Amino acid sequence: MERTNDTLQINGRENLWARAVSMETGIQVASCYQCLRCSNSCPVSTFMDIKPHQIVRLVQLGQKEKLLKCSAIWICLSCEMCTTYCPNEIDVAALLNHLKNSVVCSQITPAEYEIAAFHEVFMDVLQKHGRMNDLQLMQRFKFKTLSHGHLPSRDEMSDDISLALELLKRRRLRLFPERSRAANEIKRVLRQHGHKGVSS
Amino acid sequence: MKQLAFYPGCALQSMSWDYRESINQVAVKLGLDLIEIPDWTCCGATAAHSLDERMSVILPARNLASAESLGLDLAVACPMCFKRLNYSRQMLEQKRVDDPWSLQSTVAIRDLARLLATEPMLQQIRENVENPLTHLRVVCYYGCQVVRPPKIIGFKDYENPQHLDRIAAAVGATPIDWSFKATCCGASIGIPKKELGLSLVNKLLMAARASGAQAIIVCCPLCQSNLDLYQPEICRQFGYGQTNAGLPILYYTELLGIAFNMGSVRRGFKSHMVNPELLFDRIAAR
Amino acid sequence: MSPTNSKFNETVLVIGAGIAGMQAALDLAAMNRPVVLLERSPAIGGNMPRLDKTFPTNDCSMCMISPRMVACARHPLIRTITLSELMSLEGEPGSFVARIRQYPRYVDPGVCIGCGQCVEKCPKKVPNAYNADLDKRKAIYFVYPQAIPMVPSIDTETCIYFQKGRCRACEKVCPVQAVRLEDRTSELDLPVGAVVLAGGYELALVHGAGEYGHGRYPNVVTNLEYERMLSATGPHGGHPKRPSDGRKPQRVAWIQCVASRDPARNRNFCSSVCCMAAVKQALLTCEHDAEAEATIFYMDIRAHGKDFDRYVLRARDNYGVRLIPSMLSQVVQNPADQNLIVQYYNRRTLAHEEEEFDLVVLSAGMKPSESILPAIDRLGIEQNKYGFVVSDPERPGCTSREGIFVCGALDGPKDIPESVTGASAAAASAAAMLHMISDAQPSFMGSQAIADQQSKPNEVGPAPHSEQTEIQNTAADPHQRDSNHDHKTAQASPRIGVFICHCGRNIAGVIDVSALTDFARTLPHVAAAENFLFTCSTQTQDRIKELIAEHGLNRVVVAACSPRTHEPLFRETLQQAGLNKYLFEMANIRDQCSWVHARDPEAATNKARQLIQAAVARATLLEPIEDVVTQVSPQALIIGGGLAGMTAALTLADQGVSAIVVEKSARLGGVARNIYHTLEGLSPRRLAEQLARRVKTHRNIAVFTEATIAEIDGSAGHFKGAIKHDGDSIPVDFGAIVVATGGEPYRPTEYFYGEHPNIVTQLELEKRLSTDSDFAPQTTVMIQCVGSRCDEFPLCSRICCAAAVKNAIHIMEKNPAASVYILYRDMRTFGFKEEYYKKARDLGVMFIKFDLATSPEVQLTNRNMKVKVFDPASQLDLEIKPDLLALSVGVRPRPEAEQIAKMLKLPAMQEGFFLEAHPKLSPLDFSTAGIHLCGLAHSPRFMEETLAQASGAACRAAGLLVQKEIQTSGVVAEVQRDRCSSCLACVYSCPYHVPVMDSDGISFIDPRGCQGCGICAAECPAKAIVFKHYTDPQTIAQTRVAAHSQLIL
Repeated sequence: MERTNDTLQINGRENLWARAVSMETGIQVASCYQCLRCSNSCPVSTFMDIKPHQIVRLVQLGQKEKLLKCSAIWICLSCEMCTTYCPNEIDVAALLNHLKNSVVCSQITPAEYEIAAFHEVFMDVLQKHGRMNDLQLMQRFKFKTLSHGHLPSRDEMSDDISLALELLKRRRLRLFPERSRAANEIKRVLRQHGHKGVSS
Repeated sequence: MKQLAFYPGCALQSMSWDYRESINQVAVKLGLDLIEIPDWTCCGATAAHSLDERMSVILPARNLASAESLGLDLAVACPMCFKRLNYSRQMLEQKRVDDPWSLQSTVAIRDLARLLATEPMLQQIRENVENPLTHLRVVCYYGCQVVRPPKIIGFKDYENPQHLDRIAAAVGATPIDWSFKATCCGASIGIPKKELGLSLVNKLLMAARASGAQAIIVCCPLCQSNLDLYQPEICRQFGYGQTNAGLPILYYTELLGIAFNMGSVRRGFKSHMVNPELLFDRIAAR
Repeated sequence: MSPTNSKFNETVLVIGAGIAGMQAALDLAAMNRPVVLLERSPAIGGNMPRLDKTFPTNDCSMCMISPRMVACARHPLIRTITLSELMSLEGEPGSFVARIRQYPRYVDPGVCIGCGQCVEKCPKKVPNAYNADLDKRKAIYFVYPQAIPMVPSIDTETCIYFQKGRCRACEKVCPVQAVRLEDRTSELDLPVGAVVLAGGYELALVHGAGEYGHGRYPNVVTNLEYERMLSATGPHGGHPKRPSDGRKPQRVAWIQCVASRDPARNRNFCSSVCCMAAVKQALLTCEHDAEAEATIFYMDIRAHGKDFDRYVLRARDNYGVRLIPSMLSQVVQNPADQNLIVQYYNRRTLAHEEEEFDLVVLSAGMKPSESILPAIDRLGIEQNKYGFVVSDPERPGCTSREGIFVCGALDGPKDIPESVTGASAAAASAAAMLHMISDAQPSFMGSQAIADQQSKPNEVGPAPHSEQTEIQNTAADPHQRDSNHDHKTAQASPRIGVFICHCGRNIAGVIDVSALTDFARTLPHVAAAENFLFTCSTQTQDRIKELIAEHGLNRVVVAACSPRTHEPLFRETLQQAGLNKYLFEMANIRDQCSWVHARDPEAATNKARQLIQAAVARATLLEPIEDVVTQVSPQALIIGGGLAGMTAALTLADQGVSAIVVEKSARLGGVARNIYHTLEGLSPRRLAEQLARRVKTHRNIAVFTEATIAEIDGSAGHFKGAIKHDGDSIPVDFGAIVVATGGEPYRPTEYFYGEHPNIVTQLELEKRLSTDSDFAPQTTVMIQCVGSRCDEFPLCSRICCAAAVKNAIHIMEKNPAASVYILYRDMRTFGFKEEYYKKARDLGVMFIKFDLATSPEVQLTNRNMKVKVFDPASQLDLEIKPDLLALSVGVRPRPEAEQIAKMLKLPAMQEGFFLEAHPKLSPLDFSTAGIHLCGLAHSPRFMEETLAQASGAACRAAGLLVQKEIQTSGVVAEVQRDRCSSCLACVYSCPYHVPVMDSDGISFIDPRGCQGCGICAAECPAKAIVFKHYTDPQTIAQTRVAAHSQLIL
């Protein structure tokens, strides 16, 4: 995160959002004492625009929009190093996950569109087949990112194709993997519980 | 024969069919009767919880309900599925989400690798070894899902997990200690963000090589895929050249299969990008 | 087992012989109470001997603690029982029966002479836990080379005899047959009056947990392991070596707060000392090796002790120690060389760094010693959730059980001065309890002296007691000296006996002792010369006495080890033989000869000849000297009537010692009167009132308010002064002084203080919150370190972080919708106060870190406040509009302290706090004997710390005041009046401020105050000062002989 010249006006109400998050998720963001263990244990913090410890502080400061628009929450691998090592028992991974869920509920386009799109495509395939179908997953994903404006380079296409061929050769990519007969049941239950999709 | 319900998960039926094969073969040898849950469904992996946490609670629970109706403890091979199942159960037990499946919490969820690393099973493993792998030096890579967070997983060995190391030792191989046992390989992030994925995998491969290992033993399908499939590309991109032979990435059940001298397990080798055949031929030649 | 008769017993059982246990034992013994000092391990000393140098003075730990250990071992009233633990305690306070289980040592300490032959010959080597397994010891072993008792013990788990029935080499080789392989565990019942628990701490790190790779990566060590590496007495002789390859570690990293400040692992408290310990280790590492690089990864640097911040700045600025506020979770090992690699985010540069280190030190936190926990369980004593014993903050050292006291790290992690203080306080509490319970007279002179004082006007004293118990006054010289006899001895021609020691093989293995003996016989004035295998043994003492009588010897020279070891023993032997004890000289032919020149026996023998010759030359000129005996005025003067002064007075008074409290203001209570509640919910105000009531009505205390003390004269045991009160001048005599002049809050000039009713200090805020139920600020900003830790005043005021947290919690609990922002530099809520820091955060208080360079800015426009601060966590500039601004101002000593310092010639820091004799081991004493210090006059303290200090200081004073008379060494400086030129050189050079110019303008050195250092004698340009026992003729004789001999080396 770069230092900006913005001054944040504190009016005493900035922690309302943090309290709401805590109540909903049980994550005690207020307990943080900024030790930085989470950021230092995160394997991808170097790739994040906002580091985990900064995310916690920004939640405390009510910076909802900034956080929902950041890329870090999507980069998170959910490996839970942060959660495991936090001495104040703050489930940092769950916090970042909650932020992702909040993006999905909002009108904001995820900063890492491809990552979010991948998740969405995964869920689409899951609901259709009850299980994963790697070929469909890859096809739909490529198509979705294409239609979002991501034009693959020649190298990228050739890499993808050669990998696909290797996988097919090794039978790791099945053309017709087994479906679950419970696929419809899953779809129904999810709908009952109000599953959301990602806005493009 | 000990009966267990078995939840294979999506990866085992396609991308990691060799894992499935080796599990089938080895289970029989070790007296485990794994009964696949009928009509099992995907646990939701990372996608479900990233979009809507409630989905990630609902999806795995259906499989738990199946196991309960079978009245058998549920063995899980894929660490991601294992964690999602545990998480789902805990959330439902705490009534954080409504339970569509009316779970009774009557069955235990068992991680297959940890199960095989219990002393009675290790004893059985040792008894079944016909081809001790005494000249094989490996590092065991657990990945992130099988050890963290302790509250969900139910074990506190995240600093230095040992169960795969014990299995490797039981077949005569030498497990080498290294600092990256549970450092995340990136899981599925490599698909939407290739560079990121490659960088994480490269770090692991370099560390494994630096420790002097001849192969990496894994228990997670996604870890195996990442570490195995990307090796040629990493060699190209990071310029390792021909001098760096590939590092075979083996499931522990494949390792067991070799040690038990089961030719059927070797058939799975052709699914690997980095073929372990060469390694085992070299070792057999000694 | 129930006691057959519940008879009152004055003995105190102290469990644990670490620094706290030893201090408690020594203090109790000084007050004439017998002590049984129990220790679980084979040697006394505890953890402290394992430390290298200690902060902030960088004094060597072993050098500091050895004299205490020797004092404990020697004290006639202290009985040390090692290898023992408490099994049960029956009975009532004052008449307990303690069942002690004593484990076998397998060596008889009464016979063993500590020669070490058994250890040398033992064939079995095992890892040495004392040195963190970095080296090996034998199955029969001394815990460490300086161990007391200097008697080995056998570890049956590794001993070949006990495991396999063979060997017995130690038994065979022992020259005095001290090995007792048939020793068994035994039990004994001890009647005691009180118990003091001083079980101490151990590190909380579990070896197998693998945190940061400890136990897995060889070059990750704990702080105690690194202390052993740094220590000159450690396995590497003070040159740290990496465990993996023995190379010198150059890039060393420290990871703070390992197993501390960690609610997730149920350790939600701070271990108080690790920050300073790490900084010290880093400083020593860089001092030792100019190329070393030290890096400390931390959250807050807790340098909250007296003058600690300066030490930290020195480490950072002079030694380049890097302090990085970024905590690590993991450490990666490089398989090629076992170096450690860490990755961290640097929030100053906003960059991710990766660094490699040769060695990583984990600053692991404390937990109470495992070995004492079963006893605590059995005793049913209340422990907190972390297992530490709960001690009553308002009654220092008291546990939940009457008659059982606690001190040291067992009731909470603490630094050495606080342990020592707590020990003295616990001793005082135990003594007071025993005094109250005792049926008969208190067994010391306090009451008689009080009765004597009844006759003096204007003093309140108790009703005289009619009975007197037998006084066991062992402080006085038990051997009646006949000064006539001494005089005769001095006049007669010197007849010197020279006794040369083999010291087993220690000396004789290198030096030709019989040749030396022959040589000694040839020296002038030598009437007899003998050599002995072990001169220190009991049999040899008898033989020496025989020889003295046989040959009419009137001076003795012993050529053996260091005088530190056995000089008092030999002196006592001389006294028993009827000689003055100062007619004794030692030549160190072991430590300074055979040990260091072991490779060159011929040269060593030559040197030994020189040393003996020089010693004989000096002995020829030795004179008998009388020790000075003075009557003690059994009354204490307490300067200051705040919590500290009152507690000191009550502590003394409760033991039957009278005290005079002189308070400048009209009321007792000091600053405590204005403090409503502490962080933990106690009430200083209420306590001040309670204590004031007790003080005013106690029959052993005289209180003077609106009074000052002046014209203090004299020395320890017999001071004189005048109390100025109401125009009168009241003369008083007192034996000891307790300085409790207190402190006051700093009155800030910063941040518009005084210009707005809602810009207040924490103290003012607390008052408002406590007294005005309608006062509920909506938005509060608190700024820490106002007027502290800056160039003008570099000290930390210790209490302000807790004060801010306290008020913040109060505000939030009153109004959960309020907002509080605390702007801090380091949060120093040490010890169990850390829990309140967490509580504040959980309540929603926000903590924003700043450093000196980015101090917050406060703007005041009309009546509106605006605070601007940069938040490094979010990298945002924050602008807060508080309706309340609370400034955490620090503590300053009272201005009157300066006057007292001048009057009593006491040293003080430039900031005004008094300087004690030694910041670690003598925090409550001044270098000048008989004067003690406590409370805010010492340094900023919490209420419970002040109470402990006051209790402790009173205890230290009591040790003197309960004696009828005190004896000071006769080895003092004496002015030859006709030679004195009144130049004042001695006055300026004396570190104890003893020489004064008398009415004739001639320097007078009071032999009772003189500490015998000799500096004035060396400084005096007119050579007017004679330093007894080290006179010029004596010293010159010794030197001349040594210089003219043939020294071949």
